[in-house]
Amino acid sequence: MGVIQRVVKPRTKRGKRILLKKQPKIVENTKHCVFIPGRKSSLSVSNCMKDLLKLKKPDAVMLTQKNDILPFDDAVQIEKLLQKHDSSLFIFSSHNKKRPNNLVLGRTYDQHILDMFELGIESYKGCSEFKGLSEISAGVKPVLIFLGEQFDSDQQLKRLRNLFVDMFQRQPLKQIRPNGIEHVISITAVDNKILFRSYRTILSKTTLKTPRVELKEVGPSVDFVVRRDHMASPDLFKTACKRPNVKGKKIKSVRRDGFGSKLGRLHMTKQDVNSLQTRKMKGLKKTFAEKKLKRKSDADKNGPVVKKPKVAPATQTKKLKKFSKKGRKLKGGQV
Amino acid sequence: MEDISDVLNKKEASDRASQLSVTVSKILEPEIDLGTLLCFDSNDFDTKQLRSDQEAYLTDETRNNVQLIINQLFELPMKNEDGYMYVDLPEPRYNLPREKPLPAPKALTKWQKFAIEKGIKKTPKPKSTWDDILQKWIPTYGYKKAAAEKDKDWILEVPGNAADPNVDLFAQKREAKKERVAKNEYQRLRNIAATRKIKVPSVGLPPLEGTLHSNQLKTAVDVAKISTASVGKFQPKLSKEVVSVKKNIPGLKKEKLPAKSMKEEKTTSLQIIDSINNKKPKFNLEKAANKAIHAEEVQRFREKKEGGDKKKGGGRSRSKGSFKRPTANTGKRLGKQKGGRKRR
Repeated sequence: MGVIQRVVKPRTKRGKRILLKKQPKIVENTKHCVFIPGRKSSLSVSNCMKDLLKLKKPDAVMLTQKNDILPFDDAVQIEKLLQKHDSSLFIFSSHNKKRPNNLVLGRTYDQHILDMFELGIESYKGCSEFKGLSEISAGVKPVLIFLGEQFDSDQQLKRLRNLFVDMFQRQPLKQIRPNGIEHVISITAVDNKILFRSYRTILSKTTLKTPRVELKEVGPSVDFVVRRDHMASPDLFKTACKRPNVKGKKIKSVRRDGFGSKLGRLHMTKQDVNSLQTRKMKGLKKTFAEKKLKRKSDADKNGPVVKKPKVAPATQTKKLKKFSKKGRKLKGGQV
Repeated sequence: MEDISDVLNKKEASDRASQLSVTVSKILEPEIDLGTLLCFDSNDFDTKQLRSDQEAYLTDETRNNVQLIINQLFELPMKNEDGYMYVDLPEPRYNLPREKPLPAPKALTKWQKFAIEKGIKKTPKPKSTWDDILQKWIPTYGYKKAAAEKDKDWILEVPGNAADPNVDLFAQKREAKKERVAKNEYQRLRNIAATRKIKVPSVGLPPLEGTLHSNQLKTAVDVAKISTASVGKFQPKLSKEVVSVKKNIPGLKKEKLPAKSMKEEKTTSLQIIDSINNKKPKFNLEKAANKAIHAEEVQRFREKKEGGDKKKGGGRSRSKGSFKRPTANTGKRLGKQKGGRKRR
């Protein structure tokens, strides 16, 4: 390409922050999903998109305009759309004679398409037919259940399972409230069909510690058939799956004792007891006359106010070096 | 006594019942990744049940798997914070592709690479230095540095070996600073281009702004000559072209000079030291002689002009370089033109 690549330099702090946000990070933010309506759609496809959007909600946007895109012929437009929204997942809907009620699920890596799966909707039951999805609190992490040994034996379905996990897992969590598990998504592979179901959990107390789970279907309930697919080569997939080596910086001279309290070792300069600030009291406050007297005596002693160097330059640099070796000066008492 | 045993029995029975309600048995143990709350159940389906009542069967299977996950979750050590019971999830085991590649380490600049190669280490500069003239601490850079510099350099000494003592030294200094800043900016951009793999032309001419220096023109000629498919091998020479031995082609490797003898090297270094030590105005004999000759020539030319109109055909005294073939009655002589002598 003959176009000169320009180095984009942000003009404002806000612009800088936005660019910084888009840059690759070691610990990534949650993947966002863009719902792209295609050239034509049917009622069931558009309803299905809306329902899936409900499942994804805080991390997804639905585009309102129709897009003349054929993902399997030219994926560049989709890549551009995703780049614009700084997201890496997409669900594309289309409907035509050859492939009616079509959904394309896909994801990108480094702004290029990694995987794409075309799923045809065989039968569909929306959330409105079940009711109860609204009772699930927004943004809660769902439990994902995959049934069927086809997911293990078939390479295509194995990758599709990976995509489904990527699509619906939400952000990875460090902690969780076991009683707060509310939402279950179950995906079953049976007879060349993918059955997508979503449930709400009802935990009932038992005499034991663990409760008993009951499920209530909340929708959407969709039966998919897999049509076309585009899978990344094993090499590319492997590089995309590369895990960062997250080793925290070793914290020096801080430890914890058996009781869980934090202990630290401090390096401090010698304390001057004479100039120590003790409890402030009104009675101990200096009067104006006293202050003036002190200032006068100081001026007599030291002469002009200009501060002269106390040490020769050679010793100065030495002192500087020593300081930098020891590291940051710590403040305060116990850490 | 009866009551107690009754109660105990009841408790035991209820415990057993709840244990039964919680336990799930499977032929193949499902793969569970607690980090992502994920369960892969690859057990075979009960085809008969699946055909007869698909939804109920799917719900049941799913429930069993969720129960397994819940059981495992409740086995984890429970923690309490602000009245909420929570557990720490283990690291997710199921590998998912990243959104963007891992951030690359910051690329080194050309200077940093060179410094590492040569083992040059940065010496820390003090943030401010004591100035004896101003009797003040002056920052090495930044706030109040420029003001201090202005205070200090209100007068500048004209160096002894200055070619022209009437040059505005302040302007020169300003210009030098501007140039340094521009150079630094250029190098910064070049480093950015190198990291982003943007091609930057290394060979060629600077942008055409104003007139070009003769050296730049020479460079342009040299570059143009070798910019052919044969790298200038079959490039014909112009009629009056002087082939420069030293080619001013940027990016071309310079030939190494042969090693000097001890004596030669000594004289050259002594000359350098002399020129540095000697702050007195330089006396360039050659230049002075040239000047004198030039002045003489100018004088002679004037004399000739004054009384030279009578004399004609004095072509012999002309140098060979400025020889002009006489035009034989081809046109009028224009004589002296308006805008001065035509400069070539």
